[in-house]
Amino acid sequence: MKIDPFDPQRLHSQFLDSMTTNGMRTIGAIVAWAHVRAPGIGAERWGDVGRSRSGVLRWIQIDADLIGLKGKMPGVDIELCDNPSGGGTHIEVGAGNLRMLLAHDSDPQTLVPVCDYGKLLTRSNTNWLFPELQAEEDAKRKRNRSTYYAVLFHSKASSKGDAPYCLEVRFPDGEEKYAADHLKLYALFPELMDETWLLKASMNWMALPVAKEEKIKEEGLPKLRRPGQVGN
Amino acid sequence: MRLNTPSFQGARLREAREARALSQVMLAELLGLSSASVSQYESNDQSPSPQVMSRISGILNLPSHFFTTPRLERPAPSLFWRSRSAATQRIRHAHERRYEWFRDVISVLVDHVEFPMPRIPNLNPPADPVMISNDDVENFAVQTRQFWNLGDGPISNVVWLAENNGCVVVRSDLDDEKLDAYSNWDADDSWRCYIFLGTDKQSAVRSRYDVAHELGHAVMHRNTPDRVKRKSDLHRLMEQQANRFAGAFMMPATSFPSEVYSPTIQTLLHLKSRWQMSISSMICRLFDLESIDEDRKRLLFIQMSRNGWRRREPLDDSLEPEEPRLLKRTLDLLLDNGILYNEELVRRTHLSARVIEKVLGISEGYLDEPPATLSLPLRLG
Repeated sequence: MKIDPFDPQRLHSQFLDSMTTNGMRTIGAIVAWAHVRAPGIGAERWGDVGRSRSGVLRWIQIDADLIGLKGKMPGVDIELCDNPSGGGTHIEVGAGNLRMLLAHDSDPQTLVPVCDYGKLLTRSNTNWLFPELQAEEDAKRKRNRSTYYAVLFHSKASSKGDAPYCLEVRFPDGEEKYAADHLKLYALFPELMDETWLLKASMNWMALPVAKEEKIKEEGLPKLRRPGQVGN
Repeated sequence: MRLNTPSFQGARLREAREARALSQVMLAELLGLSSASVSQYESNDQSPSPQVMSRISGILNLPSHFFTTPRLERPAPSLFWRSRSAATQRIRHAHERRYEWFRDVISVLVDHVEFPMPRIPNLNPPADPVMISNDDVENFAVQTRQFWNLGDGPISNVVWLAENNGCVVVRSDLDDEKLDAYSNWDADDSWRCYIFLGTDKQSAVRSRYDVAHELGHAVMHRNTPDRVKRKSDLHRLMEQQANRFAGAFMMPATSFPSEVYSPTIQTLLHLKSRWQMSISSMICRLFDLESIDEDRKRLLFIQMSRNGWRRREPLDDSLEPEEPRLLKRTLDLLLDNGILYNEELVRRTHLSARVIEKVLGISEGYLDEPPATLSLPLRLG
């Protein structure tokens, strides 16, 4: 796989070495599909796109989808982890010694407590999936200092009907701040732009589980007693 | 003692008065008598003249033979009250009296029909409610769903679910907005559960919650002695447990929170029509599940107050209350087939047709008896 030549920390190569191509494509598909379906399915089920849906819902879907893939991708660990710079929980995707953090923020007004994938802090419409690292916070939580972090960035083009537009893995620079370089997933996996492919993928991986309604029939009917039968 | 009405039963007059939550003074005013006279009638020191007896019968809307027939001795009911603390003892006592009348009617009906066999799961709950933890309550709710072969989705009709499993549900005007519902069960009849719902608030979702709450008592507190139920602190604890059960039963931890994509009242409003639970109860459920913290819960309730949703939520006007069917179908079965006649029902229960309709939650006039012009409707206060 061809990667961007600018790779001062060899993050790209380590990332790709430790994560299978299929794994990367899967994660990319999840993110892309979440983009696609957030307005559509969300509108049908939960009404118009609004402040909470455009950003928060997308992250929830991504998180839910990722948790759904837990244990299904060889070489890829998907776990709920404590938020290293605040309360709540977020998703970490790990491959080898590389960890990717998803959906992270500390704004309590956008607290998103949902289902079994726990508490997730995020900000509406935020595009940054991964935090800047804070050494002190990191040390407090005794995180593995050798762990590399990447940022998954994605956006959609409103001028193209909210189609997926950009999907990149961004790597922190030597100061462990924001992205120093990036990996363009749509370029690597063009099929991720294909809605048909995404739909198929979603059928297999990404359907939000919705419990079926328990339809209760009227069955509690009185019966006449037989002659001579004693009442209670 | 001057006997103007032979066999007059003072205890019956007290029973009828208390069923309407009337004091002796209030009844005396309605009858145009002194309260001392009413007191003497009730203590059997004096019996009313035929004219007064007629007024009593008319005002209290009960046939005269009610007042001359001794009550069949039955242990005093120990009801579970779902009410605000402001609900007075007088009102509760009134409903205890009505419950006795209800049982009088039921005892006549079951001479002719069999109700569905009660199927309240016996999960061996401890007798002492203090021994029931929150985890226990959650488990009881899960096991009750399993016992009734339910998945973890929204329940389309919880009243029918209760009736299908042998509960008898009555929806009627409880005449006091401080009283939401109450229930009792009959250990001698396979723990048949009787659930009484109010129509006063006309909120379908609150009523669904009330049914689940009363089912919670039936599942969790069946072994709790009456003396424990009467202790206020333990009663409060049992109410909390029944509330938690209602939330867990109606909104399972395995399904409901996964649909809460954002903890906002707008989100919960979207979910209200699917789960048919009040927004308030959904907030409390999320808090029980630790999906939201105390601050978020407070914020949501503040937002509800600002929107004026604490008393009446959106959709409360459009969601139809679930109507019990069992008792109506029982009467249809008996009356339409000539197995039981209105007159016999009145004669055997010593109650008027209007009162029978009221205690069974049947529409007024069903038993086709013209209302007495002098009579008081069966209302409290």
